[in-house]
Amino acid sequence: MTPESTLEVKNLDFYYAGGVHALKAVSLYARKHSVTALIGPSGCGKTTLLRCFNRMHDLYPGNRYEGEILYGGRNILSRDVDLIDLRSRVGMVFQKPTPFPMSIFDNIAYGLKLKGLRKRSELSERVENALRGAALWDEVKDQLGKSAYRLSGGQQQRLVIARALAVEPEVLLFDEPTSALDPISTAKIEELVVALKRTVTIIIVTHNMQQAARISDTTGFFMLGELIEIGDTDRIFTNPGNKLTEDYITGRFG
Amino acid sequence: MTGQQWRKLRGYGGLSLSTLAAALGLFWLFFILSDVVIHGIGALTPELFMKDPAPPGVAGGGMRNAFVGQLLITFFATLFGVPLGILGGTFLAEYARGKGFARFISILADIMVSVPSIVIGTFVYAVLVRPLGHFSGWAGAAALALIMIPVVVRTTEDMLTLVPWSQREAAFALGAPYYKVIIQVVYRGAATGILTGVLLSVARVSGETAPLLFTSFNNAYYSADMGQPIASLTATIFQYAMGPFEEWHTQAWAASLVITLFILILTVAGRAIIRWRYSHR
Amino acid sequence: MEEGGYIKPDRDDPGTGEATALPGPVLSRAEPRGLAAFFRRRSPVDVLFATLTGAAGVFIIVIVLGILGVLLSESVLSIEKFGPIGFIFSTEWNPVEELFGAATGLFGTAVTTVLALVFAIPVALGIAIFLSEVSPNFLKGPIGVAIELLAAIPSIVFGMWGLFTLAPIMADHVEPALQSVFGDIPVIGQLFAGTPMGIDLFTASVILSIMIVPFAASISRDAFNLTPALVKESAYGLGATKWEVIRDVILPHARLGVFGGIVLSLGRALGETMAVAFVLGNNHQITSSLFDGAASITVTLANEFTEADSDTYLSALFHLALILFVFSLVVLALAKYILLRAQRKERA
Repeated sequence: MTPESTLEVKNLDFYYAGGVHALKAVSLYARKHSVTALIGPSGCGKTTLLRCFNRMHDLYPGNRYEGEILYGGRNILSRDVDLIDLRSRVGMVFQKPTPFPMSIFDNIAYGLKLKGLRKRSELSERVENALRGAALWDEVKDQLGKSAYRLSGGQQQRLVIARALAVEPEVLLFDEPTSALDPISTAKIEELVVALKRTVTIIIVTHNMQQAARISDTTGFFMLGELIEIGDTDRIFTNPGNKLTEDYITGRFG
Repeated sequence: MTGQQWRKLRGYGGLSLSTLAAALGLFWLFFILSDVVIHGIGALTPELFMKDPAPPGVAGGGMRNAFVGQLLITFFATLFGVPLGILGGTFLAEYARGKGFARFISILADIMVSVPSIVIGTFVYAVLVRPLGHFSGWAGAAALALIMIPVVVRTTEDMLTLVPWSQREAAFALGAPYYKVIIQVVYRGAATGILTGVLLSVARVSGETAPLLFTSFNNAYYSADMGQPIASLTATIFQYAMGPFEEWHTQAWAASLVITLFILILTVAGRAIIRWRYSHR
Repeated sequence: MEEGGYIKPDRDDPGTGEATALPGPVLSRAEPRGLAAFFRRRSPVDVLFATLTGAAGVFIIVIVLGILGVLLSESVLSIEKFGPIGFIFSTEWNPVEELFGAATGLFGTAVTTVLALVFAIPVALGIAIFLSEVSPNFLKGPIGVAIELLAAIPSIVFGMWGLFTLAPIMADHVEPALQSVFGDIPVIGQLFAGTPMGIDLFTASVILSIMIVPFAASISRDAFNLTPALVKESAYGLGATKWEVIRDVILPHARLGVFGGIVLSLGRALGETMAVAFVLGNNHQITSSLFDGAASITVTLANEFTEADSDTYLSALFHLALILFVFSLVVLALAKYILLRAQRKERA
């Protein structure tokens, strides 16, 4: 394990319940406090890999992992890992905004309350910090008691990021977080992602290559469940080492 | 205990309670079904179907009159109710499709499906029994038909709506008038679904008792005359269960067993057909 | 020609056409409008068929209005004699003196319905949670069908089972046990006073609750299943346990649908007759003990309708039927409204 890596994937295979072999011998590592982008054509396994990091696949019976993902020296795929603990340290943001059916404040405070935080003053402070961190505070500070459904799509997505930030995760997983958003909201989220890497390690799946080029430090290219190539984003986009990567980023397929 | 352990424990508690609730539902089902089987199976003999009732309190006899009456009433109810229901459903899904008026009728039919069936009985009594001066099989069939119609209307509407609009357009393009398109294309496409709806509506009315009490009433003797009071299984079960004779109780259990099995088989078959028809495509 | 008249304005007036309305196959917008055009443009057979289906569609309205009208006119005698309001509040039910009131029947209906809901709601929610979140996939189908079969068992069978099997168990075991636990508590003890006979409000409510559980459960399950997978995963992603996801995300998300299902079950319970006819006792009284017999509207109708030997008696029974019908319509319409709103919210 390299000293600065947070997450290290070692020879990972993943099988869906139906038997589909979705990841094949994937090995990579994500450096601490950096943005790692996973790109590739749809169905290539990038989202599948992302959902391994917080064991989201465990929600559905029959899915199977082989191999290891090391995090802080432990294999998070092992049976005795506490999923509640893991997921509160590895947050996730999805393709579409997923506000809960409650007020803006309660949305942000939800993860904190789960952890047993009850003191109103402390909750308020952490909610405010999280909203500031997600660049949403100024827009919603006067309507914290209102339903989260009232916000626009872009605001909802930042709300969801704030909700993930509130529990102070060490890693944040983004699964095509801007695919349902307009260009302005997308730009805001991208800025946010770059700003967030000072405090968290970020792994982002995106179908948008420009986005990967703009915001990531490392880019991994997947095809048909295999990691074709991974390296510094600048190098991947200017001087790809693999013909398949080159074809994909120059738009010859995908 | 840490907060996290407590959360997990509480979670297991909640999930266990929900499992318990499901177990309770299954328990009631098996309790009732097994009870009906245990009490009824002994009297489930050929005589039950072949013989008419013996005088009250006398051993022997059967329920032939009630089986025949039940079949007649259900048959005629289906004969009136199903065509009317299918036509009404056709109106909602075809000629009036998408109109507020059709939505209103559709919602009203939905409400009618759950209206107390005993009220239908009182209505038919006022319209068909009292003016004629006597109970009749026709009145019973009418009451059941009124219960069937909204059920058939709604299933027909749903099933016709499932037929893709493009199929109709293809037929229109050939110059067919709408009624031909409906009968030759749409009905054909929805036939399985409509048939299933009919099966389920027959199942639904077969177990009805309340609307028969003051329409077809009951008859201790064999009669196949729909113009006169006529026995039905359900009304006979009611009378026998309330009666003082052990013999009656046993026969009521046996009749309950028959009617329950009939309805459960229809229901399961209907659901299976729907699942088979609309999931594997 | 009522029906033709109904079809015409809807079909020809572009102003009333909703965005979802599909284009009429025969009439294009540019062609002449109005009833005459409708008949001229179509083949006679098509007009006949359209009229026929229209008549059948309108028949639904005719049934509802017919029932309302007939029950109302049959109730006139009773309404005149006891008053529309006076009838509802009178606890009198005396066929000999020909004095009638609906209060005892309403009492029986209200108590059994409310109690049945109290018993049924937790069980129904539990079943819905089990079917949508807890059960392994291969059990979801069979258990779901089994629960729905419970709803298919004819109510007369529930009634008979209640009379011969459940009532004795209640009288011998359940009710004495409840009495020994709650009997000495002031006020609450009143609810469990008297000799447990098993033929009473309590037993009737239990049977009724078993009957409505499947309805409430299947509607609630459908509402639960509408919660988007991503929203659930988000909650899991924050480290929530399955129970916390159910409690904090799925239940709030589905509350409108669940509420609609409960109101629908309430409407069902109101009108249930045969399942309670055997075990309610048909005593026209208002009582503080759940271990006393009572009379609901439906049970009164089932037991007394064919025995009514005077015009007033019969009219009073029709009056009861009218009240039940109107009340059911209101409750069921409310349920439908709530469920439609829940649906619309889901689509938005």
